Amino acid sequence: MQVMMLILETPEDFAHRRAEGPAAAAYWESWKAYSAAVGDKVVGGKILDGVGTAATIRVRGGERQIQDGPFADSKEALGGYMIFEVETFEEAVELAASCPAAATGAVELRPIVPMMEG
Amino acid sequence: MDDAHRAVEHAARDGYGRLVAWIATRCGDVELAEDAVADALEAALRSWPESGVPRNPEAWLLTAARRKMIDRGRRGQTRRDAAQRLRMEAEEAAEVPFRTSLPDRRAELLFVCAHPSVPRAMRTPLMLQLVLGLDAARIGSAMLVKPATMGQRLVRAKRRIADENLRFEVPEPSALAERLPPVLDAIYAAYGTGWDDEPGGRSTGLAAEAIWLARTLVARLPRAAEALGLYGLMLHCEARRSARRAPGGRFVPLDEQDPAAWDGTLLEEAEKALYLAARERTPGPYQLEATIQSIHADRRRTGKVDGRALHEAYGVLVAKYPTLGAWIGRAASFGRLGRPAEGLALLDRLEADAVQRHQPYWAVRAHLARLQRREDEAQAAYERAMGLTEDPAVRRWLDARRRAGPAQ
Repeated sequence: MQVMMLILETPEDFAHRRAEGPAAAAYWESWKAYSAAVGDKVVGGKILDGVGTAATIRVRGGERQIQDGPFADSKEALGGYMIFEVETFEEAVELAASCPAAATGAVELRPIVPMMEG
Repeated sequence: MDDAHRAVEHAARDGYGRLVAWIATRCGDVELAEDAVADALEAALRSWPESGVPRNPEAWLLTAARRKMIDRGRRGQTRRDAAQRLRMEAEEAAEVPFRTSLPDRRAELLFVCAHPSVPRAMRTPLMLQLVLGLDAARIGSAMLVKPATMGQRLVRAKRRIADENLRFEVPEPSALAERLPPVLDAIYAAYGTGWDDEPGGRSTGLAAEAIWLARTLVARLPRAAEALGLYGLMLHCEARRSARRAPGGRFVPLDEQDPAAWDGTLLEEAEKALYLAARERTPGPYQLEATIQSIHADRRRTGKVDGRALHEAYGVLVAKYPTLGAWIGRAASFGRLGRPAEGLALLDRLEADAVQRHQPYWAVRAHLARLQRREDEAQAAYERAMGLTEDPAVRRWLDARRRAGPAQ
């Protein structure tokens, strides 16, 4: 089965991405190490740019509405995702527990619904 | 909180397992026993604030629980003939708790939870719920299982105990050798979930609960050497808990800990348990593991780690009880003797699938490779260990080691 891990990062996590210094280096090292450790179970994934770059669009009654920022207004924001190929959901939970974001923000796991063939 | 509420809380924490155990051993249905105790506690919360805390709260709760069960039986809500059986037992039991405190049947409960018919993965959760009253969310969190899933599994496991009519008993001495290890393993599994907890911090682990379960068991089986061994092992580890963190949350590995920061009272209790275990002359894996911890603890007295003794203890462990953890410990012990190549060779022989995502394997591999001046391999292994680490403090420590490079 495939399980998607939504990676919810804190503003500090996002800040590390563009910063210099030991904390920023540690941030990238931890991600590099994590990606390598779970690499053989990952079938896809991307890093998303910070929430400052987000736009949220709604169409209501034929009228377009666009606003700055992410859909959900919370402290943690979606910073990326990974898709695991695993035997069981529990296996994905194990993989997720050592994700760096699990210790700072949170990670959310959702099974991917298989597409109908044809 | 007023006195009555505090009394209910105290009675619940202290007496929950005793009450559930006493009722369950009589009716054979742990779900029913849990419901009855929950009902009784609820009744206490309603009535004690008005009528005052009874002189013997436990007896009050037992009477209330019994009444609730009989009510449920009348309303036809109980399963099978459990209530009927209980009613018969109730008369006979009636005089018991009013004399003294309730006879302790928690060991019986522990043995049922770790019965061969109960799936291995459910033994620890059952113990935590039935003996300590923990809820599914807490147990699930510690064991990385979704609360709803854990709840369903717990219910299924309890039904199984009732359906298969598993007997609530401490096995005869002749059967103990076979029946005790699963009980110990399940208790130790609970301890394992708490190992990486931050001292005084947001603990999700169950270390204290596990020690408490072991103490319950040892009280009932004071001559079971392996139970004493497990108890001593956990106390040794627990004694070092606060020494594992420096101010600011920095991780401090065992060899760098200040022995003065270890808890002397716990160490003493651990050594006493090991002494009592040794007197029985029936060695086993938990006693050996505890002995290894005891060798580390000796640094408090001697100022250094006896690497030779550690190496030999791990040698016995892998010869008799070759688990993955034992092999990794044995490999690491070669490093202490200045023979990292032999340790690495040993690691090479372990099954690749088993170690691929096993954090201690990669941490030890990194350490030995560095000692052997195979720095590229050390770097890769440190990185792998980091990627498998849940605790950010340990991850930072591994990263610092990795960057530090080989000793000059």
